[in-house]
Amino acid sequence: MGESVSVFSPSLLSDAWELSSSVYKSQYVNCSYVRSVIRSNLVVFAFRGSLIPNSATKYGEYQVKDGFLDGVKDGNNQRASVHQGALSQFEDIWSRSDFQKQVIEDHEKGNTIVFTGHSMGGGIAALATLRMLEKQRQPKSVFCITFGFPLIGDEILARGVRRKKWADQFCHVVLRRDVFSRILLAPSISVSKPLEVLLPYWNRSMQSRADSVGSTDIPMAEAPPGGIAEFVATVVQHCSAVSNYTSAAKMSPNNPLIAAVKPLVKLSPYRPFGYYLFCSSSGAILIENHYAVLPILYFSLQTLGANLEDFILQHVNYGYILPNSLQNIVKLSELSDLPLSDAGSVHQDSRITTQLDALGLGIQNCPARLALRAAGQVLKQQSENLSILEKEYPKKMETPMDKLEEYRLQCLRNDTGYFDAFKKKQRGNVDFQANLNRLELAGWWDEIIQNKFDKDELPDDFQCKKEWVTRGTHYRLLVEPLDIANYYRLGKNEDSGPYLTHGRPRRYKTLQKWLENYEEPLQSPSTKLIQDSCLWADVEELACSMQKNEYKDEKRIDLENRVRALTDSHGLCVEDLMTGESTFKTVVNWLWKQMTPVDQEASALRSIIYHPQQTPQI
Amino acid sequence: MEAETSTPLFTVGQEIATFLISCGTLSKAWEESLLANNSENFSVNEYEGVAYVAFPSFHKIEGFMVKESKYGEGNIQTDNKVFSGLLKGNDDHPALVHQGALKLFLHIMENTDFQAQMQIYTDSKQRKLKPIIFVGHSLGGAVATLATLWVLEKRLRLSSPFCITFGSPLVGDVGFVEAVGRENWAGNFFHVVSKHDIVPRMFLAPFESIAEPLITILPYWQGIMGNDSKTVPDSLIQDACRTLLNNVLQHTYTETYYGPDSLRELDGVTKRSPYRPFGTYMFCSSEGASCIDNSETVLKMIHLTMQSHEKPYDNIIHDCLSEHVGYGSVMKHVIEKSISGERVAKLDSESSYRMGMSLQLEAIGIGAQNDNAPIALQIARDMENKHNTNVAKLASELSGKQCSMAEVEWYKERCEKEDGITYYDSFRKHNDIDANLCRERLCGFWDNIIEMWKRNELPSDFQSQNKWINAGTAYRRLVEPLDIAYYYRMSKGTGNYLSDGRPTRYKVLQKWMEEKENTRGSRGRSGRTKFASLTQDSCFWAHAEEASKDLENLKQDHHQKLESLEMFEGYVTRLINDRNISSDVFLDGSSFMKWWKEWKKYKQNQIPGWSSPLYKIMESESWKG
Repeated sequence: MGESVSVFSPSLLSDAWELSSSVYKSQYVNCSYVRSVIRSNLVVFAFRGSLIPNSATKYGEYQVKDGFLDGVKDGNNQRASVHQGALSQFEDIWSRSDFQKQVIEDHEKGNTIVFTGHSMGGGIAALATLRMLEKQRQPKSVFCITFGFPLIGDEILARGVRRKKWADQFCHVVLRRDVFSRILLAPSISVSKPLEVLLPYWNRSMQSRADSVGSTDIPMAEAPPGGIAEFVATVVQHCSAVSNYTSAAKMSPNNPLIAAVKPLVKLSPYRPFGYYLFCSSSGAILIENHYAVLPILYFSLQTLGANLEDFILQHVNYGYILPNSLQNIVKLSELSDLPLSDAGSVHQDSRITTQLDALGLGIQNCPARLALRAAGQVLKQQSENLSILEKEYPKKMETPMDKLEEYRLQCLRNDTGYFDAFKKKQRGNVDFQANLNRLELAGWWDEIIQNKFDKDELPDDFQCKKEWVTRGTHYRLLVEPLDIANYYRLGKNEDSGPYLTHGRPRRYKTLQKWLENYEEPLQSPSTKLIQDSCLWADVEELACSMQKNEYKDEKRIDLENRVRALTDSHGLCVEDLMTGESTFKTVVNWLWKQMTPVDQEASALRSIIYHPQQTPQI
Repeated sequence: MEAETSTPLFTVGQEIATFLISCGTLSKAWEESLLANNSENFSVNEYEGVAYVAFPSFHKIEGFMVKESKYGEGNIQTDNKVFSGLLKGNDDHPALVHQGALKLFLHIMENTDFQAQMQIYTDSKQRKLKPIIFVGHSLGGAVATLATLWVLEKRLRLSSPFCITFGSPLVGDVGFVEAVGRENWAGNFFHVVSKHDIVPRMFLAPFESIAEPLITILPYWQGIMGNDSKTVPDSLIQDACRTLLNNVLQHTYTETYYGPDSLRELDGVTKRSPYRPFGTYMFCSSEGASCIDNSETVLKMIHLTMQSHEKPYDNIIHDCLSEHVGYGSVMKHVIEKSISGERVAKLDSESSYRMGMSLQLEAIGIGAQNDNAPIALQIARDMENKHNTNVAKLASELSGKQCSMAEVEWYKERCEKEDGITYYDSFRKHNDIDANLCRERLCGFWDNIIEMWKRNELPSDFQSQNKWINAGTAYRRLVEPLDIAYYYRMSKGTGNYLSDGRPTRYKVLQKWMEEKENTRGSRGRSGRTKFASLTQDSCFWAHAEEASKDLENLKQDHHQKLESLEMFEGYVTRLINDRNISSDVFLDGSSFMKWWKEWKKYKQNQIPGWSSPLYKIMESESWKG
């Protein structure tokens, strides 16, 4: 069953549970965590937490501030949101120097660290894990195991975790009818009243069980409070809303109704991240496909034929049920062709059939099966799409890229930069061919970005794949100057506005973002290109000012800043800028005349103006 | 990249229905429409940052009573121009709407502070407007539909309003459906219909056959909605309902089994109800709920869901009465189902789609025994598939056609730079094989699109999608001059391109662009300072050709041509002043320049010292700068 299970072995899971439940002992009432060295090189921290009522937002969510989860922003630089109660409890613990020191020390010694916790303690453990993952030294050395974990992070966080390939470092153990693990899918206000009774009840139960460990007299189990039917129904209903919404959005990505309803309905923002182990008394199913988690959270909680008290009791019954369920873990990986009928089930591993039945996901629950199939289909389609792209790239993209590289060099041999050559288009067929290559590439990248990437039809980590970031960057640096040349040659700035604000195609914006978010150094390409593909847009805007004779300091400073940044990072390619009668040369010479000597002295353009005459390097 | 077929693997009707009911929005909307019955015209309430504008049920016979036409239908455009000409069918006939609902809405528009109250939610200066939902039950639902349409159509907001109706009668005809499809508004309308609620089916029968029973039943419903007292219907009401049900079922049956196509053929024999559903319909039954959005399928389901045989007729009559006013409990029941996960029938299929479809039919209360229902769903699916596949295929072909476009562009530049003449005049004089090949290739591509569009093989909003409008306009401006040149070269100056020769594709593409521009409004486009790279009126050269002919005729004393020549001069002046002309027309020896020289000579001969705005422009050569 691969690496994941070797890390989250049944024995580790039981150890983690033992420590998580021991935190409830009366003797630890003043500690919010305990640390234990389970074996050499393996340190476990277990947390205790509580669900703090919060009414500032509908679901208690809170957007994290600078300094935490900086690497998991979305495409618009939006930061992730997490449950505020969990965050504040985590921050309390983290800010205590003894804890932080201990964790960092353990980590630096090369230990594997596991954070664990039951209930809200699991939320704290997850945040501690995220915090350490941001500074994880050796790969895969920090892990998280939770029990009855209520989802605490939003879509942005969940995507970030997948993009960074951290998902296999989280294992959330959830009992089929543990209502608490779904509680944050309901608005805080809708469950606050019953929780006033339930939270203390759960706490008392955990404490009395923890205290009785090792003693001979088994404590009398306290019966759960009554009047819970409505509470359970409320939680299931909100689970249903979130799960059906995400299923519908997956099954029909362009549905206009879903798009229209989205701004009207404020669903719980929390989405699952990491692996899930769904447990019943007969066994457990490991789920790696995050799309499948919400449907299982909902469908396995449906109330038909269930004893109502179970929904409350299971949250504190992990200790009773886990020993059995951990004996029998099966992994459910291929979901897209999950059987829908008896006939189909014949071919299924009977252990899986049994476990699905035990979770209420048998073939009689047809909507559940369909939702799981849809979840499987999304991932399947994503990887199929990727392999198509991988196959097409060398066939379709390499030739036009090579031709444009050659075009650039040819231009330099003819004593022009390729930007100006393309803009003036004096060489007929050669420029025409370059234009065809440009169009071909644009069509291809638009297809990838608008029809695949933006629609989530590629794997989550596509934008972090080194070869694609490299390809995208090379394309952008080589070809965007041609788009800018074309834009200004056709006077589109007159129709629409400046290129940077009104004309820049989304493909370039997206590709630039991919590079900005990519953390490792890229292989440097064979040719040296100007490392800022938008430089020419500033130059062209200045050329327009020059024609109208409207000199403005701000525009000049914009260009200087760009040039300075490029000079500092050795990203300037002077021959592209200065060869022949280039627009850049003309503009800079004009600017130079407008500038005061003081400005000239400090100007980043100085080094270019006084650059030794470039001879094209071929 | 190869075109893919985008066959949906899943049905989503049930998921959407369960989601919308579970998230509480529908219950809230129902609550609001109950509350609205305390007010006379409408009520506005904000809840969790969303504005609910609710209309009362209008359970008075006056609202339903329209005597002018058989089904109460009439033109949506009224003298006061509340709705514009945009609401029309693909055949350009104005949409028809139920006049009772329209009158109620116009009354609210004119005699209440409705418009004033709506201003807070439609002030386009405000960046972040609250989402708004129009809500209504029964005839109030029809009014809510019109209110939503009014906000959409006047483009009062950047973010679209949403509309939720409960037990609303059908309100508009096929023109309505087409207009809503064209604008891609269908996603903004959501209609909840209970299995036995008679009202959503009612307008499929002529008014005369529903009026009388309705007079008896309406007060009963009004009582329930007004004070929530659960009175038991007396036998008089039950009898009225029996008549109503019989009459309505008779007509829904014809609607369903004769289909919309045979409707037109049979026109004149029996006039059928014009009403057609649009938007998404959620059908609810005791088994659950599911959504359907294809207009024809919904129409069939409106009939099929009602025509169930599992209950004695008297019970159905009772349900007809109670379900129209019982949406609260109908929806509560669906929620309970989704919480418990109760399921009845066991189905045997391994296809996700087939399974989803069976579940859907079960949820809306049509058993597996009915053959028509699955067929109706299948037809809707096939249609959607075909649309999606076609568009994907065209999109991929379009990117291939970029090369032909680039080649024509290059031809244009070559003519200007190498030969110093416009590509129009060059192509007018002699055929360029390469350019002609591109012209023909592009012509085939766009003719095919127009044909597919006419045959309804493309999505209903195809013609308002920016991508296609922009591509079509770019094509038209670049290539139509070649078609004009070809036409005049072949006809040797005898025909008139504008009246006899212009291909349909250009007319249609131009119409699409103009309609889109009308809806965009005058979003502060600043004037040009440079000439456009392509003349914005793609027929410019045809006008110029006609002007040259007119001038020849004028010289032979056909004085009636003077007027059209002066019009042409004015037209060119406007194009130049707005910089909507491409500078290539001023190249020496272009057809236009030849005309100008002749015209100037003629005018100066006639009137010594003649001058005109165009004269000033041309003499100063201000187009050069």
